[in-house]
Amino acid sequence: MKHLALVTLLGFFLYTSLSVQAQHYTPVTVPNGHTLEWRWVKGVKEFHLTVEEIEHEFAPGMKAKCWGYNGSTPGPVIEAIEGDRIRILVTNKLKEPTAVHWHGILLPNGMDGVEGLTQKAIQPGETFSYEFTLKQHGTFMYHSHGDDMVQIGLGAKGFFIVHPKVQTKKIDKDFAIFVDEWYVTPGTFRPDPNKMTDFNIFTFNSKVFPGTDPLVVKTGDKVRIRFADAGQESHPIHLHGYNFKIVATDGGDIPVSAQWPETTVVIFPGQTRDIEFIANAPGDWPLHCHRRHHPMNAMGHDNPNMIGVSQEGLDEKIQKLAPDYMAMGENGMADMAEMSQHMTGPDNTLPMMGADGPFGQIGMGGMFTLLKVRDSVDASSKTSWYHHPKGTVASPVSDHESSL
Amino acid sequence: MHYSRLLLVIVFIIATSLHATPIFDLKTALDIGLSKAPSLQVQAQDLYSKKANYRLSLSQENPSVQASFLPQGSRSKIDLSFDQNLMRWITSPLENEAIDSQLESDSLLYKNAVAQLKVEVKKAFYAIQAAQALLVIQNDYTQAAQTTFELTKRQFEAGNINELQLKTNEVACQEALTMTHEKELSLQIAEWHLQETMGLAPTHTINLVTGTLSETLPQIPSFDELDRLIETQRPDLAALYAQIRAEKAHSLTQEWQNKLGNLKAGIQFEQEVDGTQSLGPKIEFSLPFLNQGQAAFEAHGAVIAYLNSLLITQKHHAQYAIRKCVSQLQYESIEIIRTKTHLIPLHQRINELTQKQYNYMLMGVFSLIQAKQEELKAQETYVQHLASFWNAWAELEGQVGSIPTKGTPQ
Ligand SMILES: [Cu+2]
Repeated sequence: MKHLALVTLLGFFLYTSLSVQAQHYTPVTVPNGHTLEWRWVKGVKEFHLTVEEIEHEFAPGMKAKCWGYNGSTPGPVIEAIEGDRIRILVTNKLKEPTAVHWHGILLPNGMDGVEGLTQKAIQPGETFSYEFTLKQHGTFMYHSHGDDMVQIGLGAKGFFIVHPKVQTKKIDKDFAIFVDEWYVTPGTFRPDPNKMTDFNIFTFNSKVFPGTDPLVVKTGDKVRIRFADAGQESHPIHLHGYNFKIVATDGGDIPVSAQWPETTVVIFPGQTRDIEFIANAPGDWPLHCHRRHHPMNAMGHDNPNMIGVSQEGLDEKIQKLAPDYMAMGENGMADMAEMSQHMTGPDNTLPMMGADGPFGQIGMGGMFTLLKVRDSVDASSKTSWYHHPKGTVASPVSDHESSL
Repeated sequence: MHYSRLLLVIVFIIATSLHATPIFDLKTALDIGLSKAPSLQVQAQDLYSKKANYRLSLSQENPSVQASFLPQGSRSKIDLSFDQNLMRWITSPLENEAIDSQLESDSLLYKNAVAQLKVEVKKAFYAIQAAQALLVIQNDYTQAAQTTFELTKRQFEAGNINELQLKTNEVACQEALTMTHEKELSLQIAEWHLQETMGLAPTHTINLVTGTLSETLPQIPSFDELDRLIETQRPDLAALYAQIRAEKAHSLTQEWQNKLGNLKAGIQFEQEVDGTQSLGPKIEFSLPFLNQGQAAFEAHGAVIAYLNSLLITQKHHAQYAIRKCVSQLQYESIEIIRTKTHLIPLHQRINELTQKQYNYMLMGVFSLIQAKQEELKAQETYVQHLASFWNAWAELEGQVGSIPTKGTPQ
């Protein structure tokens, strides 16, 4: 009897420690973002989302009236564990009805969140409750499914990440990045949701470089980056310095036998993709969209092509008409990065590109960020530049050397 | 030594004054016009000839003498008479009044011609000022178009645009050149017109540097004031009044003539064959039995009625003419102010904003040039409104004789 009691007690401890073990996951790091708080309510994890108009900063120097959840776009990451019973309260602080769709999650039809089809619309001021049990793990999204074009277009979306009940592999750093595109008329402060093509702002978690937070990891870390796309365009995201494997989609894990090495992952609208790699190469490695106009900020898409066009003698004539005129683009647009630091553009508009780098101007903007891999990580790692071992940086050669 | 130095200074002053750009102002134009305009010369000559004719009509009739010698044998019958027409003496105060009034009327018509000439000179002068300003603006515009084309040519040479794009751009440049030529022609014609109006010989070339159209707009008088000015100042209306007075005096003269017929008085001397002599007074007049001068009287009445209706018509026309002028002036002044305070600053702001767009490569250099061209178009609109204002102002001055308002450029 005594033994039985001891065994029962031991078994109980074992069970509790196991269940604690099951909930032990590496929390997702959201560059420029945050994770949604939750609380236990009678065995149910309860989350609370509020959709509302927010003031969003794309990068210092540009703010816009966007729509988001709990004060941000993308909204906070919902993180839960496979098997959890969850309840999500959604309060509508917009001036029009809404509904929230749990993109990729397997759930009862009535919880799918499609306004008018699977539920009544959440009217302004109303709070709806969604409740279901998580039957899978992976990277998912939540986004508005009422007046989608406008509401998602203005930023009403977020990550929904479900960790496996049993962690089968150790992940040291788990990042989540939303890719998106917008159109904000230069000089205005509200994205135009009517745009179908020809966007002018391309974002990682609704931020443009140099406003994008870098991904800081320690040398040797096992890194996962989750991407999601709720926008209009596909984005081929390329990581420098590494091969990685695409290990999961929002449909589930890709069997190891089916994974192949990649340096670029394309995320199409309505998709999520998880990539994994071991950060064994220290440095400051670009992570960017490979569509050439996407790691750029707003620029004219109908500008005349001035490459190779000498304006000698004509620039003075133009200055008679426009005294502040400076000929640009004759030898390429690289000088733009430097020039934009000195010249003023329209209000609330970011220059096409340009940020200070360790070796000069970085002629980038938009969908561009850095994977900072360091042997030791501290608070300064986010802002400091990589120290290159001696003799490992490309440098000019003398005429003599180049002729050899 | 001192004298030679003074001489040098004088020579220097003369030399500099000869080299200074001659400024041809409105006053000079008016002075030349008043002394040389052919139309005015015609009017003046007409006035002189009319005055001479009036003197002719006033000249007294000489007394007449009739003499007859009728031989009868060795002697003759002699008949001598001396007559003087008396009507002239009776009607001459009336005729004098008629002629004075007629002279006044003619002088007023001359004054009117002077006023109309001034209007024409002013209009021609303002037209030159406008044409000069418009040509300056057009030159800037065309230079911008040429710069644009030059840039596209370099783009073409650099392999950035094709020939179709290049040629399409060249059209705009060619059109701008045409506009410049049009503006040059307008200026040339305006210059010919002023010279013609002033009465200068076509071979006489002067430097018509006229300065710019005044931007200080005079206050537009009220309709009441203008109606009063028409009544009191318009020389052609005053001329009609005087002509009516003349016609009335003519009519009275006619009346007297009808009443008294052809009144003549004189002395008659007769010597019969037998030598008997007689001398006595003589009077002669016609009896108004068959012709009481009704037709002539009516003819004068009809002329007076005609003149009165002409007066009413001209006044009527003038009253509407000033109203049309005033409406035009009000519209032009509103547009002048609006263009100056709104439209042009708007374009200047657009230029600044376009520059900012250019700085961030949101727009290209052509947009920048085009924005400036739009501003030049607004400046052109401004000059056109100014020109229309001063043209209407000259017209209004012509309608009321002159406007006692400060602000008219002289
Ligand atoms: Cu992209």
